[in-house]
Amino acid sequence: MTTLRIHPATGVARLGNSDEFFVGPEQPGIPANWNVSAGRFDPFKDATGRVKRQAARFRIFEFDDAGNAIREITLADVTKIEWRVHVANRKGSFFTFNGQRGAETDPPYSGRHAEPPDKIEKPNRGRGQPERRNRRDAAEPNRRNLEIDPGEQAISAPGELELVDNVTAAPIRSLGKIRMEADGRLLFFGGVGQTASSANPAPQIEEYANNDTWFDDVSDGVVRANVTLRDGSVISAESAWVIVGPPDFAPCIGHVVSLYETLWDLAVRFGFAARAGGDPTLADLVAQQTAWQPATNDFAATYRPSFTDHIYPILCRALGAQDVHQSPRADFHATLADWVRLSAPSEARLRAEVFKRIRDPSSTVPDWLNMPRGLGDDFTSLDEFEDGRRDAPSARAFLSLTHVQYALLKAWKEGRFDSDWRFGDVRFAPVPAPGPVTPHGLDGAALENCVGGPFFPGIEVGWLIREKSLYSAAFRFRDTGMTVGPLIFQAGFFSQQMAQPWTADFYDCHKEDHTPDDSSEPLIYMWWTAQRPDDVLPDAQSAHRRWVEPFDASKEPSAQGPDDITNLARFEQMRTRWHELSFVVLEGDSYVEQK
Amino acid sequence: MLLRVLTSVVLSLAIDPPLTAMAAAAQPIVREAITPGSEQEARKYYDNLTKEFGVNTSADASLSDLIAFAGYPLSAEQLESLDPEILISSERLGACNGGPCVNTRDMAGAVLRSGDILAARFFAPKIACVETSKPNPGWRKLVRLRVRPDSGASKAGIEAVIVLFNFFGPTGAAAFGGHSVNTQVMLLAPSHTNRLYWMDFDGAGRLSFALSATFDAGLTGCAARQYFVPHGCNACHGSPGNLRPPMVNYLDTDHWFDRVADDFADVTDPLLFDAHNNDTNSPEFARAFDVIRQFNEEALQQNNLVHRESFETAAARTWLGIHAASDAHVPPVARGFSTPPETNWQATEAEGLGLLNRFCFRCHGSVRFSIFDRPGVVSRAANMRQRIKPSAVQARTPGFKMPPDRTLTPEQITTLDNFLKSLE
Repeated sequence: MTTLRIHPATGVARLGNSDEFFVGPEQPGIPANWNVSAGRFDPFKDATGRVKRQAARFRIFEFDDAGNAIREITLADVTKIEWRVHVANRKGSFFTFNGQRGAETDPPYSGRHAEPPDKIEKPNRGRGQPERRNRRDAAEPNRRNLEIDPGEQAISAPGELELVDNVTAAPIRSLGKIRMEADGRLLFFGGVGQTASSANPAPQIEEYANNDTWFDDVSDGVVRANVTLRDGSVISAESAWVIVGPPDFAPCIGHVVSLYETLWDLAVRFGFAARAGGDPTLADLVAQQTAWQPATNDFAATYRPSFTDHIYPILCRALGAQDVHQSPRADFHATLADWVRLSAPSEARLRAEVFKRIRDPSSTVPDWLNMPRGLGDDFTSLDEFEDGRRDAPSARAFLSLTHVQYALLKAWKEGRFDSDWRFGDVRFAPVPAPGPVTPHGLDGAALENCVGGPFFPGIEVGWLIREKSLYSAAFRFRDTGMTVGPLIFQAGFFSQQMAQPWTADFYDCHKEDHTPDDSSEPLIYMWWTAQRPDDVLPDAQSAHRRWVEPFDASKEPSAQGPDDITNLARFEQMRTRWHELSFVVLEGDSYVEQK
Repeated sequence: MLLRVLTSVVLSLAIDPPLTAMAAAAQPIVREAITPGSEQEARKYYDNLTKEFGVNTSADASLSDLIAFAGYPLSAEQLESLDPEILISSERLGACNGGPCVNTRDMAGAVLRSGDILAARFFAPKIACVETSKPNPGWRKLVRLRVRPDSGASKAGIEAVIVLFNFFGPTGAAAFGGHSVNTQVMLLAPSHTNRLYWMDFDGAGRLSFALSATFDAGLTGCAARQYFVPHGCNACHGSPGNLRPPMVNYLDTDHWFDRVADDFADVTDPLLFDAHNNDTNSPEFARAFDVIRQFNEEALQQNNLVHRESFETAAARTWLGIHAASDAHVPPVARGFSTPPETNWQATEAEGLGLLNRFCFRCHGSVRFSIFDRPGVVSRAANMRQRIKPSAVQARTPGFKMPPDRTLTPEQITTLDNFLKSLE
């Protein structure tokens, strides 16, 4: 029986305020907007300085019973393709974001759901945050008015369709558009980065995630397709999902825990259905599933990772962070800039030295010092520790690699790896040459430049992405309609958890200093520096400058510095000027601002 | 994601430059291995010093002001030029013939007693630029003032002021006949958060934001560069990356003797200058050595207070153990302080340790690890090999290549690399 599936299983679009666009990455290792023939990035902004949108392109593939991809289905092969897309933005009616609140129950949000929606559960934040966003606003009893939901929209011939909600009372009605290409593929365009308040005058944005009366045009939802074959029969393809993120301002640098790796980790550890067919990456997934030892969160000794395919991709992202995150030590992570030695079987001591600096994701003890030097899902516990409300932060106050990433590095440390490095003494492996587009290649390429943690709340999605019951197979969500405790899996499911509006957190997710409890000296921790740079290099010969430096002049006089929590002007600067910020691109072997 | 407030107080005491300092517009790329800091941070640090202790850090502040703040009626010039034998003797300090005629009987609330002032002059290879075939030797004069009971310093919680004058010259006599090019000061305040606080003064005794040094001479040449307070000071006193208050470094007399066998073969003057000779059996040497011993005992006390289990404390304790009953020079291989003892350096490793002592001890006697802690070296050997023999990419990384203060010859690199490899 013919099986049709939409790929990528999760497509990623990104906001942009230009009419121009580029298509999101479609082959692993080749970033979005990379001009293969020129060997450099094309401009991320149009001639007027506006940011181009990243469109998510969806294709339909036919698979045989063994899981082999037979072919891509286009209009040349069938009578008709009907795409049905349903995205929504439900941020305004969802729970306030408060770290891990909601995650403590299984299923999630069961406890919070039972609380009065207008109970103030964050007394000190943003005039007091209730359980539900906008519950301070007694004048808005209709929760639907707080949502932007264009409903399911269908397109079955080449052309475009706007995704507009004509019912909502929200000040934003459009979440983007869909376009069917001449060959039948679907392009999804997210919002234009719009933010607006339903109040007049609009109140100041006061905090990073929960700002009542404010809205944005971020969304997510389901992508379905019905294919009419030449014999007249109609087959529904397995559905896909689309998420919309902010622009990735450093598209050539991956986050140390990508969303692909988070989903891969779930697939390995929980044995999500995976049929390799002829796909070598999926064959590796199956091999890892087979070798995984849940009791120890480790691989059986029989599994040997590849240095080039498994180890380098983790470590190179730490090295890449050098260019978008200025540290007091200019040589931080430079130990990693030696792939020849790091891949040599004889360098056991060096591997051990690197590995011992990696935070153990299984540890229940807060580890302030090790790597990644990033903040975690339970940042609230660090906040409470610093406010004197608890004795120590939780272990998850700091970012860890996934269990699978950690196990791969452990195998490498122990010498169980294939020493297959072939690029010599270079800072980074070259961008690969394009090859054939494959279904799983589309899945991976879409997700590898998304953030897979920490989810506080995150960049593209939040911690609900880890909910196992949502997955029908590795990397693929079930169709909508199921419930997760009090939540309905429906369009807007992931974006509802994200910052409202998106620009607020996008300013505040810069590096921060925090002081370990036995020290008088702070350390610097990152959030998502590979998506939202902390600092940028104007060129390879210059020193870093603060990425948001253009906003600094608008600092409120009473604030100590532009990042000071009392400088509310920072939120308005990012809200209105985000598109002025620079993109970081690869030049030579450095990541520098695109001119 | 929730922002925490970055307070100026915390940042001013931090090892890391404040984020605002990082915001400066495009500057020449920083290449130093030692974080130089900035004048802005130094100014902030001094402002906090004034708030915390009442010490004068205004634009016209001087070393003489500080000495007066500590309750001593001495000028900076006197402290710099007076013979240590006069400084440490209350009788000679009070003498009007041949002494500065200081009223030692009622000095800010008490009679000046023996031990209130400690002073010594000595050879200081650490401060010399070694990125040259003929290094100009460095010399130092250390004066430790126990603050007077009724002084402003005492009332503010400062217990002692340690003043370190820095001189250069082919001989001790020539060096000490000149002026300190830069004078570093520690304020010991054990009941305060950081235990130890920094000040710096220029050659004229005026408050300075930065000390001049050649820590990065391998990258920048022998022209001294500015390392701002507090980073330039913390860098060598156990604070950066160690997440604790800075520590007083013990004076390693043995290292001074080691170094006249390599880079400073031309130095024939007494290394403990006040001993007037290098005969470790002479009474003059013993007397001068006792001053160093006393200072190192106090350094150990401070180290114990800050971090009893640290390698810095172990190093100070080891020196005092080795020299409890002997003033004689002890070779590097007998100075290890590893526990258990069987993990210490072995005689067969003497040559390699000698290279580490020559090339690395300047910093890695007190920064992050000590080369005399063998397990500490072994655990870092692979990384040290990278630093000494970096990949082409690493060599381009600011601050990565080691040692930062000199360029090793290919032969030296090979020998050191092989030695470190053998440790793995």
